[in-house]
Amino acid sequence: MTEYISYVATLVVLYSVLALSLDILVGHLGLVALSQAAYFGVGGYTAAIVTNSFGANLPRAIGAAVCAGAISSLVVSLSSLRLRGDYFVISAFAFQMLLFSLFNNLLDVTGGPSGLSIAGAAGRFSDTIDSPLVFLAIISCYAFACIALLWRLEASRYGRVLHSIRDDEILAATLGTNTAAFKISAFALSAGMSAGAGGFYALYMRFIDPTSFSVFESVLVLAMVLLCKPASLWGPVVGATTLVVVPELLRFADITTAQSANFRQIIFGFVLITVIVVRGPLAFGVTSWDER
Amino acid sequence: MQVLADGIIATCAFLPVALGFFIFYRASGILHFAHGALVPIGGFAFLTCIAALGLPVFGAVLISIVAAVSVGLLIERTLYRPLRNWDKQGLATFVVSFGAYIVIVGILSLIFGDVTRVVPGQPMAEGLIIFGARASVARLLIVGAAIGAMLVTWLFLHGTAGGLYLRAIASNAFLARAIGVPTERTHQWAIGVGSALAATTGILATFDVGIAPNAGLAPLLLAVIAVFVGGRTEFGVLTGALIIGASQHIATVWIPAKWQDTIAFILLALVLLFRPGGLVGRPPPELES
Repeated sequence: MTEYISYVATLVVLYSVLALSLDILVGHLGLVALSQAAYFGVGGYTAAIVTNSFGANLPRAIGAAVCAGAISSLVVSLSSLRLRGDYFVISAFAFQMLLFSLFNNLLDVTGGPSGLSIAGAAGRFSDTIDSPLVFLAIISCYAFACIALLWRLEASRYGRVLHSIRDDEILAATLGTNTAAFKISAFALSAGMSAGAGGFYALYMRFIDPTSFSVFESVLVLAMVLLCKPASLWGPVVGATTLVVVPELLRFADITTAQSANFRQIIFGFVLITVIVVRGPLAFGVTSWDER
Repeated sequence: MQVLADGIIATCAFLPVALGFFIFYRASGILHFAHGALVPIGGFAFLTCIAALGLPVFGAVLISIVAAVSVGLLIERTLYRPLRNWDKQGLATFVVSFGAYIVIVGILSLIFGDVTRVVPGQPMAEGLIIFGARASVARLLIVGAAIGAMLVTWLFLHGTAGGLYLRAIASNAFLARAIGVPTERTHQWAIGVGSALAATTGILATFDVGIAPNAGLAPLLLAVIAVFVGGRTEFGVLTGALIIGASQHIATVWIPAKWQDTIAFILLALVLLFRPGGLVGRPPPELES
């Protein structure tokens, strides 16, 4: 039972980081991108591969994951400089689908649909530290570091510039802001945080396969961001906690696994629809929604 | 020859979905992702009518199209219309639409299970040889339906008042509303015609590869790619669909079939980067700067 609770707690922490990182784009920068699970996957596979092939320890594996995620975000951030509105949404979506098909098809690198497992004690700090609780503590430290970073960011000039781009990009550019640099760095930050979470996910689960990184995971993370209050620190965390814990309760209901998977999907979809239709632009943390 | 025929049949299999998606996208600018969920709705409604209720084929086709059209109209009325006032570019609507897709597919799997179903007895699976290429009767029907869908789309856009309104809204929504074009009614017409086209794809799939709750996802993705690669006219969509269908199948001569999706999305990414307006026709006004 302790094992199970610590597993759910780990998922809550990891998805909180994912939701917080997507909130940089959705809440602070005002861009709706369905590509967060792709960065999560880049981080997961990078961590798994450097651990398996080069025997990297945990900090190095996570570092590699963060770097790989930040670099991969260039594809979407550079396209966001040229494309607006639904063109941008489609380009982020295409990136997500493209990476998923790479995870699924690059058999030699990712293991394809049958997944990739991490052998032995590789990727742990040492052989002695391998209990799930210790790992949960390490992941929580990472999450708190992310929250602290975002907290400082919100109060700093950087955060205010992001908000100015969100509210009126042309005005921000007119006032001398290098909007391109801010967008690219915000994307890199967001993707790096997600990829770090992906690295922890891979090292914690010891096994990853492409289903954890599909577009439906991206939608799930977006639902977590929108559920309470975007552009805040507590909103994405509460959203992630709710949307991880509530479907887990289905395990105790008297239904089959396939049915509970369907119920999960229905819950996520229903949350997305209801939140946006009922709350309007407020669901995205803004009062008006003109120049998007 | 067989490769070419397969490519054309693959194109025809998703062309009605692409045209349906395109009609509503042109009218409203909404990336109507829930369109993909109407394919299995059509297919399962048809199977239920045929297998469980024992209705004749014609009646079953009619009922399934009506079912898909009503769901489409319901989505437009309850989900898209409340958002139109504040979500001008349709980004939030896209997210809502994705949510609707997930909910509908989840409900369909709860009712029908996750297995792929075909019409009992497989009445149209026997093969024919035409111009040296092999095809079953079901696949010929799919080709016929694609040609029919192209005709319906063209006639709707250029031969009816609704189509005229639709083109007026597509060219300038604000002015169209100002001179009294009924925006709401036109959107309903567009989503209705689009849903009917999606339902035909679902019905025909029950004769060929079968239908599963998630059977609409692949044609929908190809539809989105076709619209963005080809361009925003019905002939642009046709061109995009042919390029996607043909390139996927011709490429299988050299590289394994599992890379088909990758090829399609790389094509989409390249077009978005270098010619965002699509390959056919003029780029839309918002890209001319």
